[in-house]
Amino acid sequence: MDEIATTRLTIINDLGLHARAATLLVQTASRFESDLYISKDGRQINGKSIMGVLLLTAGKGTELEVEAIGADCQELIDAIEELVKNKFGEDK
Amino acid sequence: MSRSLRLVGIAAAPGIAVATARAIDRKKILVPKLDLERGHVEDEQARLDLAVSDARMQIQRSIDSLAREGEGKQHRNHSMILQTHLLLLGDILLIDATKDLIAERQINAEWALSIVTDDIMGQLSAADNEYLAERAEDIGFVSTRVMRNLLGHTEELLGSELKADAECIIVTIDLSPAETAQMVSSPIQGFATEKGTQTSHTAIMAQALGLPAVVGVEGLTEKVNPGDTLIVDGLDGIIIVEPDDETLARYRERAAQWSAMENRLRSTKDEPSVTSDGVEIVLKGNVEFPGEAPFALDYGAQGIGLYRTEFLYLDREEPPTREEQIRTYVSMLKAVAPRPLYFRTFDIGADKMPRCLHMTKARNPALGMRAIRIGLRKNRDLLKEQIKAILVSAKEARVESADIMFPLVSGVKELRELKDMVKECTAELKTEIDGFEPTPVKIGCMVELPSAVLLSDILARESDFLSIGTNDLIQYMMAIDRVNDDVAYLYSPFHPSALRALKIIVDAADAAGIPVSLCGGAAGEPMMTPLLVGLGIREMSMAPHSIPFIKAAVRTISYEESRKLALQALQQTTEDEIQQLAVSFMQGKLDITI
Repeated sequence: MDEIATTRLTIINDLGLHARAATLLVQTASRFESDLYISKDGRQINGKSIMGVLLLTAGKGTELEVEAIGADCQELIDAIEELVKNKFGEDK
Repeated sequence: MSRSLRLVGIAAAPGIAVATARAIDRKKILVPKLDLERGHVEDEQARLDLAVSDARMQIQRSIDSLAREGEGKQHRNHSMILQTHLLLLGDILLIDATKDLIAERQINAEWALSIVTDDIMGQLSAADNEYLAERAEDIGFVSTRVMRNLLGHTEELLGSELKADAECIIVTIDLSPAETAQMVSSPIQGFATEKGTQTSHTAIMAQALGLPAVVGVEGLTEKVNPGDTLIVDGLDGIIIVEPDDETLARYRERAAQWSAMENRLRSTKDEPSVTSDGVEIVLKGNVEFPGEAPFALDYGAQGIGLYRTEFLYLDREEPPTREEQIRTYVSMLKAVAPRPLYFRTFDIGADKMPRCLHMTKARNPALGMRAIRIGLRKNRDLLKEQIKAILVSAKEARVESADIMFPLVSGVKELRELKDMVKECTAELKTEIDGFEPTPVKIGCMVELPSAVLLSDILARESDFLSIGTNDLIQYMMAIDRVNDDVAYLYSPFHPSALRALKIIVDAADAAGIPVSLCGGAAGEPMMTPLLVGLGIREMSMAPHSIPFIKAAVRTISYEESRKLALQALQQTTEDEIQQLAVSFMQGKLDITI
């Protein structure tokens, strides 16, 4: 059976999950085997789909439920947490 | 029962047209819709795959060339956008969904792609989030690229659509400059658009083509059905949908009066443009594409005072090659010769951002990377190639001088950089082309920024001529966005600040002993003519169809009276007072209103 790792994240960068951040997120997720699902207010999208991530409309302060399913799920979750924590490298 | 609906907009180009409405929906045109024959689903999906992988290569090429160009923040941002496009190309919601739809509905790839794209764009705009609405552009961009690859060609999709039809009036949200450009010598009778202002590009183009246009008509595209009979009253800024017989008859008569008057004015083509006391006012035409030059000369233009070159750069994936520019410029120069022609180097970046520059749209583009700023700081080669093309064209067309004017100069430092660039281009051409003997170059500095007005004495000392661009000048002085209808009321060439600015510039040019020309909307406004002449303007360039009107105005006034009028106008405090002065001055002199 596939392993599952989950986490809750709050988007803290000023611009939210805008195109650049969404691109980084999808690019990062795509490096892992595991599938990634992100939910906001009960609406779930595929974290490897840029369109899906954009359609989340996750601005600053949005809370997200993140779920990774697969062999490297924990590494994937760690990588996403790192990205969000570092504000997607947004210029300050 | 006639609907006879009356819609009010902005009068953007004079004249009256009566014809059937023709709606242009830019997104949905020319998507072939075919049901697949049995067993062709996989072929169709493979065709989509091929188009997608071509698109991926095209985008990757742009990313690579960007990486070669530089490392700056702008480059990184732009590269990131292209990365987003690459991801979109691989996205299950776009491409996989299209494939599924091909199989599910047994339809061709183009049709399926357009359905999926519309669906996603619909979701994005429904999100009521400005940021996402902008992302719809990215998706549209990627989808269009794939669509073009599917269709197997890269030229503007709209072309054949616009040219095919019989007499009609184009009804649409807004027209891009490239779309308007395709309407030269087509049976189109007029334009009605939902967006735009008196000085937006659609208006300028309509004026150049001599077609009536009403812009900024709220709710237009919802209220007009294709095939409706439409009156475009470009004199009063009114659109009448499905007029009753009486209205129709009245407007037909007005249209006839208008064209009779136009013909009468045009018969003045060979009469000299001099005031009653013998001062010559040179009248030239503003043009954009070679096809327009004969029209301009036919209206009596004594040359081209503003040749807009942006058109070459718009709606394409790669900038024009030097050869292509030379072909275009030489035919333009030859069409106008022996009369002079002022090239204006590309003024792109504000409301005209070409795809081929791969630049992101700034939040406030009029104040951003625009015109020479692109050429000096972002893409020197682009401007250098244009200058070289102009220099070679002048040589090939054997004209006396290559007259180049630079838009949006803010101070003398930029002017010097531009002059150095011209020298650099000349030197390089001598090594590139065996025995290249350059034509003498005349450098014109456009005065269209408040800073340039204040520095016009210094700019005049280092230029061969000055050219005043009144549209931009008024926009920048008054801090109004030309494409924002809500602030259009502030735009007036009669504004006291505009008059004072003109005086400063003319005096500076006179002191330096160089010619000054005025191009822009004010040149084509007959009520402005005595003020401009009185301020000392001796050369104006305008939409070709305005030339006969302005010539009629010039011939009825005397310089001496105009000079007094201008002095009086400079004492006034508001634009209303100045306009009133000018109108009463012209009253009875000019019989050109109907």
